[in-house]
Amino acid sequence: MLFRKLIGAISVAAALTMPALAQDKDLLATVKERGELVVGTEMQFPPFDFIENGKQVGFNADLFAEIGKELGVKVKFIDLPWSNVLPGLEAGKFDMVAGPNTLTAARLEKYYFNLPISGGAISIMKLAKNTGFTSAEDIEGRTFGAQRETVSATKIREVGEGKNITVRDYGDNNQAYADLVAGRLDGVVAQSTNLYYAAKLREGMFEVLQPAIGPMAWFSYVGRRDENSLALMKAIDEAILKVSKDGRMAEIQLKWFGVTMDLPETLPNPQM
Amino acid sequence: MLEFSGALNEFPLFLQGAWASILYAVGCLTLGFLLAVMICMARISTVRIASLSARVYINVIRATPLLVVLLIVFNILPFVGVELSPEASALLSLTVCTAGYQAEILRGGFAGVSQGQIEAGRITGMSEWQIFRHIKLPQAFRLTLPALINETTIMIKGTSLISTVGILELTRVAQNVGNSNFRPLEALLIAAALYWLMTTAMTIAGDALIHRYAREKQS
Amino acid sequence: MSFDPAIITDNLPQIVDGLRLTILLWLAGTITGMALGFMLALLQTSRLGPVRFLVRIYQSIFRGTPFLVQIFLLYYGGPMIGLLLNAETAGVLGLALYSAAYFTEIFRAGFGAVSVGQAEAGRICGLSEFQILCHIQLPQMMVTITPALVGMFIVMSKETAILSVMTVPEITAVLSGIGSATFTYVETLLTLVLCYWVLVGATTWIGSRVERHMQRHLLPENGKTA
Repeated sequence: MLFRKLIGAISVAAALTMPALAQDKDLLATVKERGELVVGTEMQFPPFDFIENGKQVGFNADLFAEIGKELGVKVKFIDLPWSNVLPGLEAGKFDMVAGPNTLTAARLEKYYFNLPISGGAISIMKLAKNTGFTSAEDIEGRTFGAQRETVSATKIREVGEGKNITVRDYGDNNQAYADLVAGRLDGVVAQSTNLYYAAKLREGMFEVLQPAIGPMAWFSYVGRRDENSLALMKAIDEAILKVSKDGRMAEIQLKWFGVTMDLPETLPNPQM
Repeated sequence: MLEFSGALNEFPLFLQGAWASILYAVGCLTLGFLLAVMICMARISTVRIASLSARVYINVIRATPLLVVLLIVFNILPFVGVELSPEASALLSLTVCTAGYQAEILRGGFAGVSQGQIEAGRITGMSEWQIFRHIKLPQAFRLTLPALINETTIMIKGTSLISTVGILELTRVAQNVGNSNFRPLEALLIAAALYWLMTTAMTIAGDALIHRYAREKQS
Repeated sequence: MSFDPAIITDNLPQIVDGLRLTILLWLAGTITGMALGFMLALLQTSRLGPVRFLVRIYQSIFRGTPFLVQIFLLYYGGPMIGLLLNAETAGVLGLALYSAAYFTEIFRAGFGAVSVGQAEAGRICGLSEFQILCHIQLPQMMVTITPALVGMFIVMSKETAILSVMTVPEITAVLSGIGSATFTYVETLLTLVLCYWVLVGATTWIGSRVERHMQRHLLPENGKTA
C-alpha cells in the first residue's frame, strides 16, 4: 500500500522533471522546435511586469506577445526574485531575460543586449506629503530604498558617497514603495519609468524628484553571450526592430508609459 | 482597520498557491523518505565508507539553509552538468534537505526495532529484504512517526521559499495579491491562515495515526 | 566551473560585516527566544486552563506558519497597524517569536522529565517555588534538553538567511550582492555555504562541550556522552 503510493509519487516527480533547456544546440532551433520561448523575469516591476488578478500584465507581456508572433512561438515567463534572474540565465534556466536591464558597460561585457525597448534615468521618488525634501540633490543624511542588485542600488550609493546616507536593499520595487509609505524611507531610488508609473497609479501619494541622479540610459532584454544564443538574439533584435517600425511598439509604449519614445536601431554605447 | 474584501476576491489564487505548496511538500516528503531510508541504511551499515558518506551527507544538509540549497541547485548544478527545470530544481532541493533530516530520525527508529523480531524473521525463512520490508521498516516508521510528522510540517513551511527558483506557491501569491491591491497585511494573513490549516491538519492526522498504532499495539 | 578567490579577498571587509551581523542577530534573537520559551513553558505548568490554552495557541501559530511569512507580516504588515520597527529589530523579534514556540516545547519536555516527587520533596523541605525551579528542576532538565537546545540554535542560525528579504544586510544578502556585482555566482555561493558550515560546526562543537560539561557535573560515574 505504502509502496504503491511511493511509486505514484515518483511518477509525479518524473513528470515534473521535464528536461531543462538544452545549451549544446543552437538556441533558436531549440526554441522553434519546442514552440516556446522561455523568459526569466521578476514580476513585481510595474509597468514592465506585474500581476493583476493572478495574471501577468505590463509592457513585457504585450511586447513579448508580438515578439512571439514574429518568431512563431509561444512565450512562457518564469517569475523569480531579480537577484536570481541573471544567475538563472547563466545557469541556462531560460532562453533570455526580460526585466528589462539597464545597459551598462559592465553588463554588456557579460550579456548580449537586445535593441533597447525603453529608456530612463535613475531618479528618486518621495512621499508627496514630505515637503521638506524637494530636490534630488538634497540627500544628505537621508535613508533610501532600492531594489537589491540593480544599477539604482549601486548609483545611489555612488552619489551618496560621503553624504552620510543609508541605503536599504529590497527584493523588489513594490516592497520599497511599501516601505516608503510605511515611513521607513525618505525616498525610493529606481528608474524614472518605474517611478512615474508608481506615482501615476497612486495619485497624490508620491512625487518624483528632479533632477535625475543618473544619466539617461537604455533598457534592453538580454541573453547569453555564447555562440548558441547568437541566432536567437539576432532574431529577437529583428523582431523588436520590426515591431518598432510598424507602430506596434509605439502603441505598447503609449499604453504603459503614457508617452512614446524613439528607439535606436542599433545598440548604442552604454551611458553608464 | 483590516480590510479583507480585496484579498478575499482573489481567494481562488490563494487556493491554487496552497495546492502547489501541498504538491511540492507531498512530493519532497515521499521522495525524501525513500532517499532517507537509503541514507539511513548506509549510515548504520558496517561498511565504513558507506556509513562515513552518509554521516557527511547528513551533517552537510543540517548545516545548510534551504534557501542556499535552492540557490546551489538552481545556479551551480548546471555548471557541473546537472540541468534541471525550475520545478525539478525546487523538488530536488526540498528532497535532499528533508532526506537528511528524515535519515537521522529513522536511525533512531531502526535502533529501536528489537533484535528478537529480526531473528524470528530469519528463523521463519524470510529473506533480508523481506525482514527489512516487513519488520524493520514498518516498525522504524511507527516508532519515529511523531518526529516524521514534525518534519512534514517543517517541509510544508519550507515550500514558502521555492519562489526563489521561479515556482508560484502560496507565499508568492500573497505577495502578488498584496502588492496589486496595496494591502500586504491582509494577503499575508490569509496565506498564514492557510499554512496554519495545512500544518495543523497534518498534525491532527498524524496524531490520529499515532493513536491508531498505539491501539493496535494494545489489542 | 572556475573559482576566483580574488572575488572573496577583495570584498572581505563586507563579508566579515555580513557574517558579524548574522551572528549578532542570530544570538540576540535565539537567546531572547529561549528566555521567552522558558517563560511560556513555566506558564504552561500553570493550574489555570486558559493560560495553558493561550500558550498552546501561541505555539500552534508560530510553529504552524513559515518563518518567511512571519517576517513579511512583521516588517511589511506591521506598519499597517502602527508597528514600525527597523529591519534589524524586526529581525531579532521575528527570530525570538519563532524560536520561542519551539523552545517552549523543549522546556516543557524538560519539566516533564524531572519527577514530580522531587519537586514535592523540595516543597516539604521548605524550598520556595523559585528555589525548587533553580536548584531541582533546572539543573536536572538541562542534562536532558541540552542537545535539543543546541539543535534549535543550529536551526535558527540557518533561518537568519531569510532576514535578507527585509533589507537586513546579513551574510546571504551580502554574498548574493557581491555575486551580482561581479557576475561570480559560483564563488560567492560556495563561500556562503562555507560560512554556514563554519557557524553550524562551531555551534555543534560548543554544544557538545556544554553537553559533556553538564553530564560530567551531574553524573560523575557515567561520563559517556550520548
